[in-house]
Amino acid sequence: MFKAVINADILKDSIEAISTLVDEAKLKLSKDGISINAVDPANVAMISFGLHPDAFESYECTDGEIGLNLETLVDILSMTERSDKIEIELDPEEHNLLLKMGGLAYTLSLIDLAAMRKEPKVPSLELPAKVTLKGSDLRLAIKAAEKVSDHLALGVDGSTFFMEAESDTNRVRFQLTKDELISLDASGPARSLFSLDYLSDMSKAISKANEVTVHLGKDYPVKINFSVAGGKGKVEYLLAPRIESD
Amino acid sequence: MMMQIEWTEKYRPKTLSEVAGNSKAIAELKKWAEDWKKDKKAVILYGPPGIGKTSAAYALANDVGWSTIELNASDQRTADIIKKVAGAAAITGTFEGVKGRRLIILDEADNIYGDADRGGTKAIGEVIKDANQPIILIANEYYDMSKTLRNLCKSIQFKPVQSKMIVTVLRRIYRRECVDCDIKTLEGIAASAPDFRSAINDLQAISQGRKKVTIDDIAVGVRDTKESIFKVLAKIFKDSTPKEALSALYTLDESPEDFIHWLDENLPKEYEGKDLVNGFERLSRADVFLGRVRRRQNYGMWRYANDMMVNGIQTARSQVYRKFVPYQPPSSWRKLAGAKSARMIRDSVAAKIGRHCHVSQRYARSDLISFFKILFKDPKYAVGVSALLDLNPEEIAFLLGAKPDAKDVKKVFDAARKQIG
Repeated sequence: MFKAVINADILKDSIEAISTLVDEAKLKLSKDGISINAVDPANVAMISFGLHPDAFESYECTDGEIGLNLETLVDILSMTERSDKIEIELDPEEHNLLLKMGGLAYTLSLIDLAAMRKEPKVPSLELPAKVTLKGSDLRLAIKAAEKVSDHLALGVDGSTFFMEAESDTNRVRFQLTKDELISLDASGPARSLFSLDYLSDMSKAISKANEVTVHLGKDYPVKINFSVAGGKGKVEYLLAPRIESD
Repeated sequence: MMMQIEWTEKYRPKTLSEVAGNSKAIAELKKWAEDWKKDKKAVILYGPPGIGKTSAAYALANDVGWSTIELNASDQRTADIIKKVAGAAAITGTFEGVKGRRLIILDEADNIYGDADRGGTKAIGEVIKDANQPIILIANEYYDMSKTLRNLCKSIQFKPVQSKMIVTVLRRIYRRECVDCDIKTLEGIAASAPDFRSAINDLQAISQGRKKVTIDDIAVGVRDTKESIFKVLAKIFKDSTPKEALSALYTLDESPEDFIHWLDENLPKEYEGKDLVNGFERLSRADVFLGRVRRRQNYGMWRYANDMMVNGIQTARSQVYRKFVPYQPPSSWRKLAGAKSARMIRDSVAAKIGRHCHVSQRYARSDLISFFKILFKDPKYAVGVSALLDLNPEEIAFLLGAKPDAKDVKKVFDAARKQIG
């Protein structure tokens, strides 16, 4: 059983943060909220997402799992105003999700769980550097790199957080010292290379967050944490590092 | 409703040592994985379906601790998606860092041409060139893949498996599924199935809802096998019953109009003396029927042509010829193809002359080309005309009556180029 009412903008922000990486996902429903663990088709980026019941106007739920086509959902949500309220109800008999918004009532068919890809194992990683900065700053760094290359390096050197990108002819560097950051905590230097294809997709959701925490290592994945829905939703992106070709 | 798990998935080998058959190929695959670190070359596994290529790829990944992603024919494989998914996977480390290995499996790699986006094969080539992760391409037909792909990769052949090997695999499975079954039955299944996958599917289908399976339950039916044209020819010319030969022809995807040329080409290689005369007598009767079909558009008469071609030729011989004959495709086709390209060159010359002389292409072809051939006997004119009409080497060769790669042709062509400037 699942029955809830939620503000359109919260649902929109949450789903868009996920749908940039995956077209479909398994939603775990419980009385503690909704959670999603999904990995992109290339197995390069992972998202862990959790939404607390407080993010909803009303929330009634028993444990369950459903498969949802996120592309369709995002499409449907574009029909709503940000201030709309959306009523969501699960019809397990018919294998449908019902969405009511304003005068519209959508019936969304669920994806058979057996036909979906297995949920990824969230790896436990020890990343030596932890940087907290404004979402808009990280977005700026990513956008600046896009002008020059298709990949960038993120790292921490002493008490500076830096981004570097270079092509055959051009290069760009962006850096923030500890004072310009919200916080920086590193037990050693860190630097890893990442594909901009993925970071650009992620940066849309990231830019909306006031505070973004970035965990980095040396040639290790980057972990990017931030919250949505006024702190009631949590997003964690994990992106595998690019291999430097020799 | 619970979905039935397919046994082919359930019992997919977990490690390479469990993969049955093809031990040489498996050893090569293992070696490739060991060498990959310094070589970074992709590999193609090719061979008939259902004999363990995909299983071997997954088992290998499991053995050496690589994670995997797969793109198969059920995914949309446009150039864009290949670049986005396989491309990203091939240059990126795993969630364990840059040292983590991820195996990219491109199943049915010989089947990408048919896809909506024709750039698919090219995209795969680019992904392979830039890859920093191991890639396995899997294909049924090695030569259905582009030469570029073949040159980029190492290749390992998987050969059809013996039915003894299939029985071994079936035994492993039925024991674990607690199906009561004797060895005769398993041998029966293995005999009618050409590979592991169909044999396992047959076993599962037969044991559905049964606890005991006997040889009488094998009613899977005979698979339609497509005969090659060479086998059908052998059936007609050598020793086989009229019915066998005729039904072999029916499995063939070839119209009587085409097939008669095959017989025409190969009959004189088989039959001798009076038999050959009789054979051609029957063949010409078949041709009479084909002519009637074409004139009257009554395709029902094809069957008389077939009877004449197959059983007629069979009964025309007085003995069975035991010698080995390498059958060949109709040489008339080859000649036609050659004539076609010659015609095309002639027509393009005629078109150029026609344009210059303000006459039709047909008139140029029938009345003027012969004059130009005479003109071309004088090198001075040859160069001048070639330059004027902007002729290419093939066209010059045609007018000179020489081969396109002949020295004279090149001389005229180069001189003409110089004149054009």
